[in-house]
Amino acid sequence: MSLDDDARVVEIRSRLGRAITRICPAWLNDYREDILQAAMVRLLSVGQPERIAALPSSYLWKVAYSAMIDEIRRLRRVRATSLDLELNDPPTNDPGADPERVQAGQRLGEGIRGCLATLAEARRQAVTLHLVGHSGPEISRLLRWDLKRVENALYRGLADLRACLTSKGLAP
Amino acid sequence: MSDDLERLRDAFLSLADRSRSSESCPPAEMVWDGATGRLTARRTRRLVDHLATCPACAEAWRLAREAAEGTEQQPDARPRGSWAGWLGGAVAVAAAAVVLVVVAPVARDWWRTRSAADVYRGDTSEIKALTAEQPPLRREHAVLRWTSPGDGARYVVRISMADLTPLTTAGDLRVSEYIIPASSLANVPSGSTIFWQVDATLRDGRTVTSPTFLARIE
Repeated sequence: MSLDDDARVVEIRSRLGRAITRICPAWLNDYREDILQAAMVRLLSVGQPERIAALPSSYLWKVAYSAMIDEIRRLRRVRATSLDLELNDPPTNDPGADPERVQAGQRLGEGIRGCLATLAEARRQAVTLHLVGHSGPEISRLLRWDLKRVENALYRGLADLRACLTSKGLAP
Repeated sequence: MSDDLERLRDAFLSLADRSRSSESCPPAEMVWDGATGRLTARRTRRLVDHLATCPACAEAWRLAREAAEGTEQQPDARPRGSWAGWLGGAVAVAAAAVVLVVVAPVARDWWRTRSAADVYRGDTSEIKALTAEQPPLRREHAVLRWTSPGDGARYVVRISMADLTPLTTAGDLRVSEYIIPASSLANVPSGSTIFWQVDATLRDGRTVTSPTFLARIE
């Protein structure tokens, strides 16, 4: 590798590091270095640093994201199979959260998942996307539906979801 | 956003902490493409149906959405083909996809020969490189050194090229350093980057795996 390539590798690593810092949840902080290394391995396998440096920035973010998700999946597999109690503790955004409240939230989550399965297809899809954070216009763009159809599916789908949850004694 | 909707969202995504991905889960790259509007409507709908049943992937989707928002990356306006077809449009990206699909799993296997259950990686900082990336290592005396995670540890060191071609693996080392045989570096071009990683087995049977470190060859 030439000196130019060395400089490019340093720059790529720096850009990846910034991307990972921005997208990593706090509970993954201890694993950032692993994620960075995994992302570097993927990127450097693409070809010479000059070629990597020419890839669009969005691709770099996608690699950073993919390495992070793979690490999350790996950690959850380890936790599920490990006898180590520390690893069995689920990560939480709020370590001081009331355990009863956490459990109630998880019961509600299970209820939502069960109820989603009973919704009509279009309503289920619109509501699912809404639950992961998308607005009506975003859902319209993702599913290629006109906004009116999305709003209708959302309105009816959320009403169905609430009715289902209420019937299970899980009114939000 | 109403408190009611916020509670529903929190509850729906709270299951991710205790869920595991399965064989049916889409690759992370596909979740990214879905959340950033790069899949066909049909594939997106199929993926969304999966999210409705899989809290881990729902969380992954949310993270992709937030990350893409952070990069100010908007779904592009180009005509949508299939996922593979879209990738096929750009040679560089297609090559990268091949790497992700074909090379990455091989690489992972190579770097992680132990099963996940056997490997404790809760604190990978237990092993730190004492050999820096710079200055370059002399090929006739390329010494890798690292911190010991505990007395009596035994080590396995794996060394590869940056393209993941294995160079050598040394096992049952009792000291926290290793001199790469010159013969292993014979075909390594001058100025190349190599990767190295250490597995340490401690006296209590725990295995600690280091991050992957980089070094240069003179």
